[in-house]
Amino acid sequence: VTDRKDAEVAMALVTALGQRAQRVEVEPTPEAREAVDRRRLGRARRRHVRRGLGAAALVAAVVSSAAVVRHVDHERDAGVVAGGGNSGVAWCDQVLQAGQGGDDPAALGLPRLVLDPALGLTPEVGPDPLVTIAPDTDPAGDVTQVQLFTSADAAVPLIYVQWGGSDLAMPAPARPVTVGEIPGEYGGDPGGWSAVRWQMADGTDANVYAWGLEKATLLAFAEGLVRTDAGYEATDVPEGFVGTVFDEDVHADDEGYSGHYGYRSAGRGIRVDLDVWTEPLPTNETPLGSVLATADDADTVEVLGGKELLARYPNGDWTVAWTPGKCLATLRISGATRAEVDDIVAGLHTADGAEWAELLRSQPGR
Amino acid sequence: VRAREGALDDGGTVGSVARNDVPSVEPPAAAPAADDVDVVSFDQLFAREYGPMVRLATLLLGNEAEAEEVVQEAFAVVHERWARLSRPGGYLRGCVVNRARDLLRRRAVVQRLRRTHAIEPPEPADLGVDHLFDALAILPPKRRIAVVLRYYEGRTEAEIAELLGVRPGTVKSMVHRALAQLREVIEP
Repeated sequence: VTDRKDAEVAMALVTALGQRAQRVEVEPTPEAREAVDRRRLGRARRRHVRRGLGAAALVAAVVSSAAVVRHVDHERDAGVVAGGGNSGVAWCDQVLQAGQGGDDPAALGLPRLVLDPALGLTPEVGPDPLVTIAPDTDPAGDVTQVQLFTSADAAVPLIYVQWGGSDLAMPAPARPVTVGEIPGEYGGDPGGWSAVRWQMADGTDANVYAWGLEKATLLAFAEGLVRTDAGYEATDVPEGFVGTVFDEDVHADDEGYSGHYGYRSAGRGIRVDLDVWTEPLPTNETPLGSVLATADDADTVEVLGGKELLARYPNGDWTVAWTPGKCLATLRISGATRAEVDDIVAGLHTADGAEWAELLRSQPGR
Repeated sequence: VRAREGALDDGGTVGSVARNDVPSVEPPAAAPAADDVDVVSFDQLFAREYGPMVRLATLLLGNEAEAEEVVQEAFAVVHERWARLSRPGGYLRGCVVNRARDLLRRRAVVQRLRRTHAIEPPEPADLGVDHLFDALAILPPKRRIAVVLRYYEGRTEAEIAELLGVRPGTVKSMVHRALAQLREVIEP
């Protein structure tokens, strides 16, 4: 019966797709051909910029007035148990991945992250991965570079710089400004989220976003950004800020979504979703940027021994985002207070191989 | 399903019937493709494939505006590498599919991070006249691509697998699961 129904759906699909395609009225007009040429020139320009960037990661470490800017190393030691989660091991969800690897995230260079069972959260099988891992046969993607600047005391405010295209919305209201002498656009909302966007002299699009920064400070920061032969440097990082290249030229070989772990509480209504993204996420999809752009407020929280981003959403949900190794991890928490968020994050630890194997053995299917 | 077998002519005539493991239906004439056809010049390829590629991208993405952008960018890539391409039509198609997949994935990522835990199937009442086409929006990116390549272009599982970088068995599974998902929407 199922096969017959599938065949009916398939037949209907053939009809629906064919009819929809027939309604697309498009011709290879001279205008379309010119659009291709414009894109070709744009690509050539970006390649030039990419060559300028070089292959090595660039760390924006500049002396600004009296402040010494230092590199923040996001590398975390695998196997380190931090927070309060060492009294036992949480159940862990099945790591959903496709295309490669087995059931051990370490095979993909990902952390094995688990939550303390004392938190009372029960693991559940996550949904199908929305994105799977597969090679991208076209390596000629746009090049962007993302830099994240946090204040030296690891607290908000925070500055997020994205070179190249950006899909983050400009905070409203937006109005024209000049960055140096270059026309641009500035926007800020009452919640403290602001942005400035302009095109640099070499044609590169520049986007600077910030939490909790005054307009004048943000513009001064933007004006201080220049491109050097080796890449970009922030020459005028606000006092007390540190900067690091968060990601660079990552639109290369692989897609990024890697795994999902889900937990929820039996009675308290808390739901926790832990997603791990491998580094090669195209930067124009940078999850961190989306986290920031959609949040209502931002703060930091201690994650595995380091201060990391905590975003709060208008509906009361939270997202913690951090970079274990070369991945980006996001912990989405619903139905929790800030104190509970702190507890949950403190109950997070990185499991070693033996621990992970035991989890898989004791909880088949999880 | 009538599957592609060897070259397609300019009119998009589908080749002979091949054995398949997905439900047997017969798609209409597939979109033309220049995968295995000699192309003399870039402009010739553009004239012949622009329309079919936009139609394919529209089915993959759901709207024509994004489809044209994807196709124009794909042609720009092909132009850059023209001298090195032995099968520019096939390369073009690969670029279109990959870029469409990037866009679909981007939508999924943003949706996921914007607190939408999962893409909920649309209510039947929300579906328009193209209800089955609209329902494709519930599918994860690769499933949608597999379904379009299968039932619009009549591609074989092996061809789809090559385009998506997965095993043919995975394509079979993706198509079956996609059909099951779609059935839930159109037959609640």
